[in-house]
Amino acid sequence: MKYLQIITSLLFVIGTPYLGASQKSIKEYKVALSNGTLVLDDINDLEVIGYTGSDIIFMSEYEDDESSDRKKGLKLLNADGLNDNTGIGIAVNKDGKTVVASQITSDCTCEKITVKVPRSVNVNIVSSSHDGNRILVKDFENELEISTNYHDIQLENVTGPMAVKTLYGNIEGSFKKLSQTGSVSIYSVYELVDITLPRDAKANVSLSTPYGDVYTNAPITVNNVDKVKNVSTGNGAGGSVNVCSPSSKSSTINGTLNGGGVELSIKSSYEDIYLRQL
Amino acid sequence: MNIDQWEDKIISYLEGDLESVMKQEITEAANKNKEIEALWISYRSIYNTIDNIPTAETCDTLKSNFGTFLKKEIDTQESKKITGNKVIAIPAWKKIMTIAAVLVGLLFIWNTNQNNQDINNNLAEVNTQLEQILDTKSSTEKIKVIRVSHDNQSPSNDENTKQLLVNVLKKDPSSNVRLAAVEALANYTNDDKIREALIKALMVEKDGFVKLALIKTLGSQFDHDIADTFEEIVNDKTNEKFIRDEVEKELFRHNKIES
Repeated sequence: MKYLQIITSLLFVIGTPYLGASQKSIKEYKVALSNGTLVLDDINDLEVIGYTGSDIIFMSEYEDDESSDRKKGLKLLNADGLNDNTGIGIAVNKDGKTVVASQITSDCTCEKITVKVPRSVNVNIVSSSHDGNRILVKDFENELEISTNYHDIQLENVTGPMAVKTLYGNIEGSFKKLSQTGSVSIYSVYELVDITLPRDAKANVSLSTPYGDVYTNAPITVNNVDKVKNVSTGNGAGGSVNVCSPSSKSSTINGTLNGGGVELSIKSSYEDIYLRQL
Repeated sequence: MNIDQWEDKIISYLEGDLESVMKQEITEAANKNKEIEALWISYRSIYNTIDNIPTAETCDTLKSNFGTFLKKEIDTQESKKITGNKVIAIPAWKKIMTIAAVLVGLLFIWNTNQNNQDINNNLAEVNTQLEQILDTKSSTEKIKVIRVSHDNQSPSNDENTKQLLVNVLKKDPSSNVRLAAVEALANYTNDDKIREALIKALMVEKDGFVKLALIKTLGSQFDHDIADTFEEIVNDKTNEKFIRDEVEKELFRHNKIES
């Protein structure tokens, strides 16, 4: 009985500081847009999910902390004059058929922002922040544009068309379908690119890696290969395309997949490219 | 009758051209007039001398050779006369071939003009399509058009097309589209105007990825202007480190900086 009292007391002492602060809740902000473009500007930790609907829904898990009381009744303001009009550290403004969402907190450890986007809306993600973590886009079928310096990019069940580039992040993607409209370009300068395509994907393929290798199990019909030693078309474990010279013009493999189709361009300047087929 | 008239009559007499009456008259006149007599005697003596000159008989061989020569000479002259006046007869097949050659030539010229016209029309059409699509808001469509129409296997050399790309590089709000424009313009770095446009773009471009592409592209066609621009970038500490690093790499590659 004595031991039970001691344990209960200890739990009370240890747990007391957290009892009031651990109120986690999900905050939402909606803006109506069924057709147009969503621009996501400098959001550190971002997840974009396509869905069937007509509102863009911004969501973030919000947790009260010791400064929550102090912030009550106040709004976050940044040097661009933007206010946190969502309650989740971002400013959202609508101008015609364009919605722009910008992160305005300088707290680099801020919570992940999840954005549910109607399938008919185009998404343009731009970021030059050093605090980039990861950008995840999934279940998305409309035009996607990403231009970032430091984020890793993960694409799940996206179809294209898309233009995706990052300087220091790697790009991983798995497509269940490859759209034949527009074009698909996926570029990283300093990190790898790993893309999985459906077996029936039709594409005019351009793979460029001046200082890296290309690994693939896709049956690419190569049009021209300059300064290339070999192309793996096995299980991806054995062969590679070795580029001897770091020349942007001489290290590009151009070819067709399943007879050709959408323009698909993948580049990694200093790392390897992995092109897989389901 | 003066002495000159008597002289003509005497010559005619000696040539045998006068009637007997006239011959009689000359004889009587010569008997009466000493001057006419002297003239008569003088001419009769000349004619007697001529008549007494022996005639050389030619041999048959000489006659035959002369005849052959003469015949040949006549034939030659006649042949020359024919050649000089003849109309050259051109065979029918040659006429047909000539006409065919002329027709083929005309067809070639027409076809060349037509092809040039087609190329111009195609270029104009491509440029119009480019302009139309570059006015749209879809970045991936713009990238597709730029990539397809400026495939580095067969880059267009049309000035308008190049200018369109330069405009895209200057004005398009999408860095992905500007990047595609740089990749297409990389085919024309031997063109001074394009190099100049790329240098200007490098100085104002904000997107790191596009800057890197510009540095790589310009690095492939290094010259003094590019070297100056690169050194300016390296020395400007407000530029991102990765940009300065890439520029230094290019400068190093061109032996501008001692390692």
